[in-house]
Amino acid sequence: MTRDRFPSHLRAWLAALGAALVVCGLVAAVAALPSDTPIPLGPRSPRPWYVLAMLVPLYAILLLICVYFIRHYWFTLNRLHGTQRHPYLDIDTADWPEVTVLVPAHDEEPVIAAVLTALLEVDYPPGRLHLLPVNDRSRDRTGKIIDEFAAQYPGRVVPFHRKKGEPGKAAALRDAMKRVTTDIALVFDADYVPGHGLIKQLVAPFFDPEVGAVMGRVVPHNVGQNLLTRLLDLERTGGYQVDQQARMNLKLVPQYGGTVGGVRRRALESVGGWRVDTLAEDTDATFRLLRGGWKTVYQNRSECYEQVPSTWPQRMRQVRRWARGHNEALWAHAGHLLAGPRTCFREKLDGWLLLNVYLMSPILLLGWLLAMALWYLGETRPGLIVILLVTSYSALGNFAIFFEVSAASYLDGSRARVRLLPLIMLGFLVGLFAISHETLLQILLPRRPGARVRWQKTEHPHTINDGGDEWP
Amino acid sequence: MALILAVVGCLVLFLGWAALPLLPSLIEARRRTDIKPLRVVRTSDVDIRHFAKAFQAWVEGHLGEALAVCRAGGGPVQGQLGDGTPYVALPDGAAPALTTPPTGPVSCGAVVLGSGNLSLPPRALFPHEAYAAGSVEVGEQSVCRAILAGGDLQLGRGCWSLRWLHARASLLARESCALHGRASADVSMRLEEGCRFERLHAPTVAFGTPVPPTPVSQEREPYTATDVPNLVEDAAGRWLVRRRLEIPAHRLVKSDLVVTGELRVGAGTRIVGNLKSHGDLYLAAGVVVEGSVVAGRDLSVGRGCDIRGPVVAERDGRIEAGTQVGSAKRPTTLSVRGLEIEAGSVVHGTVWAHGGGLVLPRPDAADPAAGPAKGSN
Repeated sequence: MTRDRFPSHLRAWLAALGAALVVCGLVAAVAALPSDTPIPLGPRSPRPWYVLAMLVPLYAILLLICVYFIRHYWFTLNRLHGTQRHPYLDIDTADWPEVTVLVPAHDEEPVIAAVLTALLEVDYPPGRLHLLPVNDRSRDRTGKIIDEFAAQYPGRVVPFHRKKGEPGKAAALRDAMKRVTTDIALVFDADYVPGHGLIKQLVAPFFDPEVGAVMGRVVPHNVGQNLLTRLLDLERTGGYQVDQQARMNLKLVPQYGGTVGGVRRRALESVGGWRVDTLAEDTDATFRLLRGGWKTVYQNRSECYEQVPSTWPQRMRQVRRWARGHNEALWAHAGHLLAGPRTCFREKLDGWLLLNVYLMSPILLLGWLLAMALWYLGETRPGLIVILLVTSYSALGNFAIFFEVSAASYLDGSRARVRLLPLIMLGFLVGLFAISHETLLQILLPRRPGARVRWQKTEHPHTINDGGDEWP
Repeated sequence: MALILAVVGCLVLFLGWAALPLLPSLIEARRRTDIKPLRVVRTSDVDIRHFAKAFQAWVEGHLGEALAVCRAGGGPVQGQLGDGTPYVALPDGAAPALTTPPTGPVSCGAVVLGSGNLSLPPRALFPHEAYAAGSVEVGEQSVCRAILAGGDLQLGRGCWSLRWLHARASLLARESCALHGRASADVSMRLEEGCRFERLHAPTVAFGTPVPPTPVSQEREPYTATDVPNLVEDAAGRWLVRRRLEIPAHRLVKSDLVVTGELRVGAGTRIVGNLKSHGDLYLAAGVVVEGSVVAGRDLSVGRGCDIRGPVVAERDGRIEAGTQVGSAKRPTTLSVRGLEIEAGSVVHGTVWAHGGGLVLPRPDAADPAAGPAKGSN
């Protein structure tokens, strides 16, 4: 048997990474020197204190951006050339456990029948698959359609009509989980149509006693609607095909996304269950499970369609909600994650970087401001600014990183759509300012502990938006 | 005026120059040539019988008449498919004609169909699919692309299959066969010593002749959380153990077990739960695991082990004689990178060996109840 701890390709990547770091360091050092003076050999006049006060954070920001830059290059190269991990995909024969599929539905009359029909036709032992559609305070015919299914398939479809309680998917899931008797619960949004073999693929990882959650790949369905949906399609492609799968390959921290996935009930309960006082219950669950020593598994081949926002205001609201929820997870988990005994170093590092993703937007803006201020204060270090601009362009782009998107499009076999890549800069800038705005608001006006979360449902073209529960 | 024109001209030139790299984006944004959602595979082709089912449907759709003529006693029927590939439909028990080229192996260049039982000659190449409504017997050292047998399928010594095999009854591969791609049977399958394989599926997959179960003492001492060194957590029905763990022989463990290092389970121990190790995982002789076994690196299973749930190893696996994975009532999956499995073991369900599997001869000299497995304590 092979017992090499560091395979040759890994050694090659480590060597390449080391060389890249050295080169980056040298370039940064040379660029940081004054461009109009020779290399100083003697003592230099001290800089004013305020210049130093700006230079130090600027260098720190530059370093942080370089870390993300290297991280995303690493992910992309791993995805293109590394060993791909799909350890549970082969499990096609087993004594399949009982599983409950939750379908939270709030005013989903046009689509709820399709998802229930598809779920009744999946390849899974019928007696072991329980469907629990959650009619979450719907005001259309969603509840009636669910009841019709329950009457037609008694015992297999057991509806839960949630008529009161806090708004939002997290609260609905928390209430619905009280009715779940199986150890494994899968969650599908009502606008998803699962394929024939999807349930088995999503259940298979739970044979590993360390797995607390599993996540499939979400594929945008309304791609052709407009330019925004096309750009979001590219972002999603990069985020799942490269980012999530690379983290799975490298045994880092794949993220549970709240839908097209599932959780092990006893794992989730052991870390406190669903939290309803957060806007990103999926991120929160990922990190609480991680801190509890439970892994999240990403299944790249377990694909399901979703609708992405089709207007910029919807997109802005979605990004701001994600940013706020993600930052809440940052405050809640970053310290515990670094100090926790149940995670290894690479998980701590990747988890910490993942938690800080949304915080990087205001940090990047701050970096740009500092660089410009220093320029006008006479710190003529154009190299510094250029490096900042280039690395920030290359390293950040909301979730989907530019070279990740390119590699993902290549892996998906897409050709023409990747030509839109430069236009992602548009989404990047919108996201940058939306996230920065939200993060600053969050810092300046923090939510009181225990305060009620105001949920905003992401509108889909075929769903009815009640306009209620708007989030500011 | 000229100055304004010059300034405007320069501005337009500059903007045009700046927009040049965006030209492909702008063209694609306008033309919308690639706006379909990515294709999501809704029907699963991971079913091992996928190709066999598709071939069966194709045969019935395209060559059903030729087979019916044969079945009615009309003798061999020859013809050509739409793409020019020849086919031959043979009556029960007949063998196809072979051609001997000036260079290269003896071969049959046609799709071979048998209306009853079919016999393929030895030391021949069959580059196209073969089908028989009844059983198929392949002579030794022949090479086949794919075979679908309505009854039993027997491969002679040293045969190769290149794509897939499926038997509606039983499949037998004699010594030193190489089963590339998929091989499946609806009833049972047996691979003799020296056979190589990749992906297998049958209610019972026997490697060599099964050996009787190893007698193991049923007396076991309870092994509790307090006995576990480096225990990080005992919660949610799971023990989380940092670094290496070695469970002594003849213990009874009633918990799921996750070990961040190497895991060794002593002979005769029974695990009422699931096992996971980030490192190598060793099961000594006679270990019983009622749940699954997941190894982050290599897996070694000693003689006479009984594993009820799925077995997954991210690297290589070695399984000694007398081991049983799954059961007839509860078939399961064994998935490893490379697999060496001794004759005398049985897997109920699916076997995946991505890097290739090999059936090793059973070390007859060893007494099944004697020494522990390689690497066991």
